Amino acid sequence: MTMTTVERVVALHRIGLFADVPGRTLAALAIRASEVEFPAGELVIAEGAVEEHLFAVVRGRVRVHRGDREITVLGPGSTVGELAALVPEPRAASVTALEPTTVLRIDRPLLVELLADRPALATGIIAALVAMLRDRSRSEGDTTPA
Amino acid sequence: MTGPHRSPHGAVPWLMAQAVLFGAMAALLGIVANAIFLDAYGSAWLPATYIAIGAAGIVVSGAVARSAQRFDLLGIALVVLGGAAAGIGAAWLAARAGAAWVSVPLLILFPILIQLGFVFIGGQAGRLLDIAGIKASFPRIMAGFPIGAVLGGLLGAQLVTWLGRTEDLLLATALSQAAFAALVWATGRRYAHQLGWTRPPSVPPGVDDTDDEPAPRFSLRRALANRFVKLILGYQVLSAVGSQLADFLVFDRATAQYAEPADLARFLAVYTAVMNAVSIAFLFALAGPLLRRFGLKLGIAANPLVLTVLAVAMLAVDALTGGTSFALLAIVSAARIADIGLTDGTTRTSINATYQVLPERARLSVQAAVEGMGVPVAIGISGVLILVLNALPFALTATIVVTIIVCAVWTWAGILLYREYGPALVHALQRRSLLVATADLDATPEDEAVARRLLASPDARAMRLGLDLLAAMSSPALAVELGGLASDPRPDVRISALAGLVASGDEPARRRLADEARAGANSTEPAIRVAAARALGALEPSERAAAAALLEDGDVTVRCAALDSVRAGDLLATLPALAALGDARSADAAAGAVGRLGDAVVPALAELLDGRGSPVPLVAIRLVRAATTRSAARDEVLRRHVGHRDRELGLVVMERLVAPEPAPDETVMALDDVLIEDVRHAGRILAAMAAMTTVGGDLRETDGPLRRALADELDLACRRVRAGRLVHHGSARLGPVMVELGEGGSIGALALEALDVLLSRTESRQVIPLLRPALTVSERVHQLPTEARTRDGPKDLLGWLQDLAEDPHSHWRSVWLRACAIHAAKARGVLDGVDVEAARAVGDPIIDEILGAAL
Repeated sequence: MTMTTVERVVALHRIGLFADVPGRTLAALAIRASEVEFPAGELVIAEGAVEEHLFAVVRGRVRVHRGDREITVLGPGSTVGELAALVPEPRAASVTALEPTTVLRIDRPLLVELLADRPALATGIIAALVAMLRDRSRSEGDTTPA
Repeated sequence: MTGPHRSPHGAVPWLMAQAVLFGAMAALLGIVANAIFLDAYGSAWLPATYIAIGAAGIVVSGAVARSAQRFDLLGIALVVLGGAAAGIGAAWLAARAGAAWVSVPLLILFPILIQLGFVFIGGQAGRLLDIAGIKASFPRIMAGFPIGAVLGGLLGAQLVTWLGRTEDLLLATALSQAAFAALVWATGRRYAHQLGWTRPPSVPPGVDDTDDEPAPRFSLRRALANRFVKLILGYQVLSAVGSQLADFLVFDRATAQYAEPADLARFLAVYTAVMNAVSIAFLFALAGPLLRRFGLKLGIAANPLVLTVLAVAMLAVDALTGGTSFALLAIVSAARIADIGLTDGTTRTSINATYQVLPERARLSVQAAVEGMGVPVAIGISGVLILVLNALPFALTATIVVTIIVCAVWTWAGILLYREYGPALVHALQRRSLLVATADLDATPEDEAVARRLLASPDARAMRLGLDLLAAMSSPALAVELGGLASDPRPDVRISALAGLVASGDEPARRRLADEARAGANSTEPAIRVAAARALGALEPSERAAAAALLEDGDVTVRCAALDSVRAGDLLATLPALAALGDARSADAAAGAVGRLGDAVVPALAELLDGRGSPVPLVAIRLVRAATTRSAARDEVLRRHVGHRDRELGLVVMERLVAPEPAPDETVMALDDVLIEDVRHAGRILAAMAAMTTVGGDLRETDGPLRRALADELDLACRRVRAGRLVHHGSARLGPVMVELGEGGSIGALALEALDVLLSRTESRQVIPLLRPALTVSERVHQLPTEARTRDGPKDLLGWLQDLAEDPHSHWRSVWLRACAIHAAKARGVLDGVDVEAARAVGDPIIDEILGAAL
């Protein structure tokens, strides 16, 4: 099922990173984001892949793992791959859909454009990254982000 | 001292109970001390005690002010109040033994104890309530004092009947004082967190208190170096002298009017009853609302102004009807009754509120010094003044004239104090800079070692980082290192090394760098072109112009480096910089270049802002943000567009115009029009939000996007209001206030008070309901000025959905609001009631998407 732009903005507002961005600004990003469906068990992100986008989970749940070792499970309102969207580097972990999952794919240029006009968003991104690193270091015993 | 952290909202009854006991003690002490003294020594010696009061007040209050630097408020209050209770108890024993002399220290102690009692109650209120709470509740707290005084008076009369000896009233006085002290202790236990000394010491305004050094010892001279403290002291002294003269005139005229002691007693009984009744009624019913509505302007000015007017009336009545007329007695009594009510209701509350701008640690010391010393000194001055005036041939008229002069000067002092209050509030809200403005980053040997290690790295990126570090270090030893690298076979290394040498003033290196940069600009290697582009900043304008092609390089990193090297006057860079603003990847570097180009971009700025297209191109917003160099030409263009149709762009224009100093008149006029429109728009948004939340409990998830869009629109309106006021009044004046406004707690309340004081009354009414944090929609609607409330808007939710989607009057001018309204109408199944043609005409893909899906 394809989401309308308004529905995409609602989904993005549920994500901490974008929660404070006004809908009128987020609409420009939402309209250009790609909606992607993953069936259960399908790989969303492969460890080591060099990509330039992040995923915002709209529906379903995904498992973040390195090999068989599970790092965390994320659901709607979460993002995966934020670091790669900012600094393209090989993915540090894999992400697999645990159930039929809908995500919004946000490519780096979109994020860069949003950051160019809303520098305050960088604060939100830094806060989200710090929280993510803290959560993951707590759950995995090291500080490696996905 | 320990205790649970309680909300201070329940503290008002505790403080009021203290004031009741304090009032009862004051009445009892006043009765017994005067009775014993007058019986033993007669009234002729009374003025002499006034002078002694002044001297003793300085000593006692000075000791309290100094103690406040070492001990907490409660500790000092308990020692002073408990000590006074013990002293009065001892005086009772001495008086029973026939020692009438004890009335002398008691009479001297009386006004000092009263002032200190007010200081302690006011000090607790200052810690427990924020400034808004003080304005609203302090009059009610103070109402306890006259209530206690009435109860104390009645109790005193009854006790004398029962006990038969006036001296025994001292025991009741000591017990009241002990009960007052006990209640202060109990309040301290209950509100230990707020009243106990748990915070680090702060120091007087303007002194950096970031280190751990103890606060400097309190000195009255140092405190009085602060103009604001000086004005409070002057105001308080004049207030006490004015009140003392008014009090003297009542007793003087009453004695003249009623020769018989019984008649005099009857008059005084009625006068006291009326005075207490008026005072209590005023404190309970009027003082709080008046202060909330008119603020400290009224609180500080009302008392002296009313007394001045009544003193002038006294002079007229004296001239017309003679000094012994009942009319004069009536007006003199009215003046004193008004004075008592206003002193307790507005003056004391306002002065307590003004202490809030002082650092917390200094507050009690200043308050004790100003009130504890100032008022007894004023009583002493009054004593001398009355003795001198009584010796004159036209004593009454002279006393009235002096009262007029004192009250007029007191009014003037009040005006000066209020004028100083706004800047003092801003000063109190200013935070210290977290960073030292100019940090000298001289290289240490360790830094140089790190840079050398990086240079030796086989990784090209690490090596370039080392080169950058080396170029940034101002060490002569490193010039040798850079000289060697300037002959490196790699062109980018040579260019970076030469740039480092040029930065240290090496002229031959500059010429070589110009050649290298020209050659590097034509390189096929992006890294070499980047190095060349970065070096341009160190060259002469003509040398930079030779490599201008780098500003339009196909590689964005090269373009950004070239834009970073743009300097003021590089006219050739104007168009490339403007073009680069349109690309998010180079927008930051372009913004920096645009800022440095200054007036060169003003024509482009004017063209973009004058454009009528909709929506406004993103580059217009970026250009306004980037035009950071202030000039008359830029400001003139921006001024014309503060009310731009596109509210986001208008906001950015206003933000760009913010300067430390207030805006010129022309800009102020434009901003005032914008404010009216913004407040009306906010009223419209709030009305729509209210309709969305009170739709008969029929709240739907599908309305969520519209509710959020309206909240975002309100936020935009509030930011516009904030930016507009910052431009109007200047950031030096309003900046700290706006920063602290959202802070909440006592700092937020102080910021709100500052806003109320610094803005005009009309502006406050428009601005505060929008900028005050944590208000509900209905509270904001209620507080908005009547003219800003939307009365002729739609009556129901469907009406608002139609209005938002059709926007027939171009009020909303927001595609996103329109889209969200159509989305909500569609989800509610009421899209048929909306004329969607106007929305279709906008040609926006989001609206088309919703309408397309609806078909």
